[in-house]
Amino acid sequence: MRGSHVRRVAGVLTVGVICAVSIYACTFFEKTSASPKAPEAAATPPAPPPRIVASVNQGQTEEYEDPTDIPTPGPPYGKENRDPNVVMRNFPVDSEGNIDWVKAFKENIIHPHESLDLNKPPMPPFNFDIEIPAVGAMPNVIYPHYPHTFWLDCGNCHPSIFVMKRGANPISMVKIVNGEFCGRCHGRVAFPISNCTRCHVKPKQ
Amino acid sequence: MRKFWLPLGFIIGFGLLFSSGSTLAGFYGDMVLNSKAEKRGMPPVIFPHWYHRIEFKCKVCHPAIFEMRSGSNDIDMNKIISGQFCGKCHNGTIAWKPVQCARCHSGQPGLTTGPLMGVK
Repeated sequence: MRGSHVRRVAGVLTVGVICAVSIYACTFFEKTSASPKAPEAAATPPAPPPRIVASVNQGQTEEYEDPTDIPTPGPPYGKENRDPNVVMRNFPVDSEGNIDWVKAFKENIIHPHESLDLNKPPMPPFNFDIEIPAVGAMPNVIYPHYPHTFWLDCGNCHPSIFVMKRGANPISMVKIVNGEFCGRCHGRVAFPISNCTRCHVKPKQ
Repeated sequence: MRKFWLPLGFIIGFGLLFSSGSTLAGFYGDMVLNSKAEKRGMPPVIFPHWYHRIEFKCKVCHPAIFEMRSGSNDIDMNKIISGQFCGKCHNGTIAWKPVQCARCHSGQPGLTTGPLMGVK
């Protein structure tokens, strides 16, 4: 009796998995057959995305797109594509599957503008790592200034979010989850707090 | 009794398929702007951070144009059309003009101001 019960449960699970896989495969092939150019585009190295400002300044007089149109894969992203799964299909992801924006600019996949003034030179990177001790057996945090100063100015964080003095910021994970310190951006717009090992990188001796 | 197991298998299968989140609308980092929109009869605004990040660094907009705290920017359409907030770029010279309402006012009714996903 017990054996047949196990067999029944296993059968149900097998049918379930087969059903899920087959439906997923159907939708997958439907997508690929609907856009036959997508695999070719994925095979070639990603071209730098076109810039909205530059293309407008070159005098292109395209009218506004119809927002009900289905986006087509490939550039120009600014005019046609607002589907994140299409636009960012070649973007690097971190261990949790979120877009790794730091890797994206380090690998020259994105070239975000420094300012609305196109002639403004980019700020030189500020390569200064800070080690922040962690509680218990958790590896210590290495805070890298470099990727943060790529995106932000000093004034975005100092002194309103972080006081510029070692030990003057009582950071804790509870406060971060509640939206203070790192949590002002991380967990909301920057990568989520659930990705522990992206910050807690230096094991204790 | 035997007829019961096959439908159950299908139910579990559909459950596995749709629990993967592939049908989820929106993207991590999207912001909902709904302090005025719904009161004035428009759907909430969804601001896609991911899209703007491809073209501009955070420092272009923060904190000069938008303060980095949801709900702390008193945005309305008059200000946008007169060149404040979104209107700094969305004026037809840098980015498209704010003439197609549904491009921004695309949220489901009832959303609260703040991040669409992640910590509220």
